[in-house]
Amino acid sequence: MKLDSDLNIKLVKFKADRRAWFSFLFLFSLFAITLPAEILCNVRPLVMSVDGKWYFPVFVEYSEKEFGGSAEAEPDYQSQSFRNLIEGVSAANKNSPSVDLSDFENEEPAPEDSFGFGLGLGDFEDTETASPKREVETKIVFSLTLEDFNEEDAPIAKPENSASQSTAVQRQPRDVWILWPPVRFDYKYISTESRSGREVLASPFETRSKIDNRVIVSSRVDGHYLGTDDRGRDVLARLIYGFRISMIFGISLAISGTLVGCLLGGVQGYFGGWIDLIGQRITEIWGSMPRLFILIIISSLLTRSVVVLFLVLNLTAWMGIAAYIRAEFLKVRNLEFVKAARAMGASDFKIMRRHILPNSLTPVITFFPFEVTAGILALVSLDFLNLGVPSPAPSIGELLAQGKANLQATWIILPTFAVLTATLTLLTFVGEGIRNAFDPRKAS
Amino acid sequence: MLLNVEDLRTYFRVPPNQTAKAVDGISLELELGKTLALVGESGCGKTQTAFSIIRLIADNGYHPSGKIRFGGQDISALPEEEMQAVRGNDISMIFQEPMTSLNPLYRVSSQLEEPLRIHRQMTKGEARQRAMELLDRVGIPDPEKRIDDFPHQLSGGMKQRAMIAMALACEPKLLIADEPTTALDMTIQAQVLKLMADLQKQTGMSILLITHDLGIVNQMADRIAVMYAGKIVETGTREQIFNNMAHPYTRRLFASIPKPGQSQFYLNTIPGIVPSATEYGEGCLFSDRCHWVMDVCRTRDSQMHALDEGHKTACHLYETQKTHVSLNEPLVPAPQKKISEDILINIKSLKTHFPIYKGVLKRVSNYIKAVDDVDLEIKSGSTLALVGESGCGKTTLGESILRLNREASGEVIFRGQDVLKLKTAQLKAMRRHLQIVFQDPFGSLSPRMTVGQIVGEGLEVHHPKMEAHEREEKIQKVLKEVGLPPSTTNRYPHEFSGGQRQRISIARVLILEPEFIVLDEPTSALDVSVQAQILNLLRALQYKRNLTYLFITHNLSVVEYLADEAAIMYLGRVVEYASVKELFVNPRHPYTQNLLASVPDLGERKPFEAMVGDVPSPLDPPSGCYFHPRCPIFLAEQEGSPLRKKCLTLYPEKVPSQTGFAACHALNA
Repeated sequence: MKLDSDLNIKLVKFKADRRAWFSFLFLFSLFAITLPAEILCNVRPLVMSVDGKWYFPVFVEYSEKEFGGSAEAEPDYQSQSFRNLIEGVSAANKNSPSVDLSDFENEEPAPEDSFGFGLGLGDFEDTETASPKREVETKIVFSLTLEDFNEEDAPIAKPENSASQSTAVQRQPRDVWILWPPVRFDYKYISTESRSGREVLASPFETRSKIDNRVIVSSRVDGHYLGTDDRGRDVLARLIYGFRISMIFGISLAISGTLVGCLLGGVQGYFGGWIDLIGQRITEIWGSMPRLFILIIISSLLTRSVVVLFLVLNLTAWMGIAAYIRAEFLKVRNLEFVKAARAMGASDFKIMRRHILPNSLTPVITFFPFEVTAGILALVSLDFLNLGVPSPAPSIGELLAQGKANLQATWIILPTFAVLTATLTLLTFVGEGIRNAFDPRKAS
Repeated sequence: MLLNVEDLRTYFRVPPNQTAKAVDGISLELELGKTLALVGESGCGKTQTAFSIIRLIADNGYHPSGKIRFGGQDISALPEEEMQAVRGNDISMIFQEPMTSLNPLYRVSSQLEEPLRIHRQMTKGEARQRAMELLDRVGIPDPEKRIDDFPHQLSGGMKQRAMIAMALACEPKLLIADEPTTALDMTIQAQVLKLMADLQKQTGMSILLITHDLGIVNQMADRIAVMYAGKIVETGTREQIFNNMAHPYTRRLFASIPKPGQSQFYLNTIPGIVPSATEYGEGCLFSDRCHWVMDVCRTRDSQMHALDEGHKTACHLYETQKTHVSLNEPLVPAPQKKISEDILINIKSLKTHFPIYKGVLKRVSNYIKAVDDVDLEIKSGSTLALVGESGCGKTTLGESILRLNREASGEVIFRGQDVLKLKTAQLKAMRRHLQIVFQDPFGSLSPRMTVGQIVGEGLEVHHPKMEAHEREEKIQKVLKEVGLPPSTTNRYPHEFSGGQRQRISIARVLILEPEFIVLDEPTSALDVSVQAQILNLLRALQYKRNLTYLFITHNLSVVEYLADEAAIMYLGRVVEYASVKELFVNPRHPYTQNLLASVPDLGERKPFEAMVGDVPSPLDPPSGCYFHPRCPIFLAEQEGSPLRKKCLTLYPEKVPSQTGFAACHALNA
């Protein structure tokens, strides 16, 4: 459709507001970057080739059997046992109780290999290239206490024998090439093999052990660029996934709230009279119901999920927009072009859709960014109160709660706070820009 | 010479990088105690001239040249502080829109006292005393009570009087009146004009009257300056201009006004519209619209040529011949209307009573009787004019006939069926034949739809199965019929001028091929030149398509030109019904007589016979005859006379006349 020149002027005005325009560009690119979060942060490799055969574990679920293993389940691509498997190294004798637990190898790549944000092209795994120097380094690293965690299990210190590999039966080495995502963790993966020695609340900088004052290596050696949370999950991955879900949640809540609001407000405004009167009273009663308690009640009845949360928040999200749309409809329905359409014989629905709605959209567009902000805030606060989406779903609110509970872990609270504040501030700037662009009094 | 404007230019910077030459080199002179009328279509720079004189132009405006001498002093060179002492004190201004020129948050008293306390340093008591005097002088009854009213408590006419009182507070030497009566009803307009003329006589002030109404000019002005596209094209005394119009623009502007005896002819109009102030080109700016354009007009603008003492015009026609140039302006006869004796629409005791709700339970406490028991018959092919002041229910009547409001009751018989009792599906089919064109050319087109969508909508509703190309063809055809180029279909309404928008509205209606069209003041928001174009169009369409019109208007000259029969409405009721020929020669109802008398005439100059009072609220109409509080016959009657009693207690019966009826007790006596 041809762009309305009126709208074009508004667009020009919006762009002229540099703060709003750059906020919009920045926020939009952030959202666009984090939309494919599965490619950015994943425990599975993006692409791997084993003996010339190509695999895309991020997109396709393979069973371990396809790589020559024995389990039906999807392999843990990060684990040493899997690496052993595809590299043709036997991992026969293991003494760990869990499948996730695996052995450490001398051939373990040096920590330096994991540094940097590149797409891991340098992370070619090849047993033959392991140098003696690296062996020494890794050994030093591994001499620190290793703690393996399971999500359910209490932490058990488990010193690992780095020499266990010596008894392994050598298989035919395979030609392996792996392309990893920039962050090798997703929001729920709990690593079992740490080289820094700490997996839970691992800091992204060097710290000292409180017990014996030893230096604890930065979690970056494990690829945790912003450390881990209190269950050993990667903070950066959780932030990226959390930002994405917050934005999607906020935007979809704003869209659905707007649609419902337009419908209900429009019907009230267009027909007026008793429909309006009764509708308004019902809206007021509905609006005075405490959302939080409804949520608590519903979460005790239903399994909590994003969809349920979305539906529950939708019960009230439409009310602000409905009030504006109702007022606009009340105003526009008396204009002459609406009368002209009535005289033409157009149906009520057609008049509402074609004549009134396009002329009532200004408040909808103006308030949309603020609705998104409100949606994000609702999700974050519910998650903070542990009423939101259940663990292990990525959530900014849950991270905030963790940060509050572990104030010493500044790598959790500060980035989370920064992301949340930046998002809301930028959205507000964008909203302000849109509002000014649509304000007829500020027309030049 | 009180006011002397020399070569005034007012330009505005318009983004992006454009200059609007609103006022482009005009010179004016105004003597003390005289009235100068500035005439022209809208967009010619009249108001900006006024604003330039009192230095109230917008921030993006500037004056490349110009000197304004007021009482010998060059006020264009005064610093802003000294200018403030002039504004409101020596020069005051009244504005077009009385509804918005008073601050709704302050009482009339404080707004009236403000200039007195600023300019005259009066104390509060003195200022109040003087304010009361002023209200009394402008004819507001009960000034002691009214002075503490808020503006919304005053009627439109009273507000304009209060505005005049404010402007007169410091006894200015010059009053600038910018379309002071355009927003008012005819009878109120007559009151205000009479007031201004009387006040001028009393105080000896000068008036700069800005208007587009040549009738008002004729009745009020001593000198006239005709403005077109930022320039003065003709100036002279009232007699010089009206007896000896020189410039083609003045002539055609005058010809655009429908005059008695012209109803058999098309009006001579000015084609096109005033160019936008940002697009003034080379040569005479009127050349594109001029009937007598010559080659020289396109390249070079004319000098001012003096024709007579004080009569000057800027037109190349007068380059060689310094006296009157007679131009051949024949009137083109309009085709005869095909009026049959069949009644197309028969309205029987139509009532539209809007309920007023009160209290928590919203019980109906009272009714606004917008239309109260109206009977009308409209002959096929004819035009019935519905005349009355605002609030008399004429628009509501038009909408009720088309069943555009739910409150209408009674009977509207069209093709043997009662429109008011039709079921939804039948009503939808019926709507095709009964259509309406609205007053406001800006409000009646949805701003977010293209012209093609707007015009084609009726086809979508009534012929949903029509092929796209066929629909497109029909749209093109009807646009051509109303005089719009085919390229308009993809454009939006805001790209068009008022007259073009009204053409779009007419096209939207015509595409359904209706038999009956309600025209709700279709020309009242337009300039006279554009009004004439639309009237000609309506004329031609009526003949071509054999249409029947219900023409709602308050403009009596249009009634005389276009209509065959007329119904005069007052407070929801028809007080007189007659053929137009009879009505204008022999009006029988005193209200009709007063209406006709309050029209500013183009012929002889005569004192205004202003009717007293305002239109009462339809919520609470006066007892007996609704018109009696304003009726000259009633007011002239002696206390306690039988006629007076009747008027006070009984609504009059219809007294038949030759071609209709009038409802007045005095006719029976």
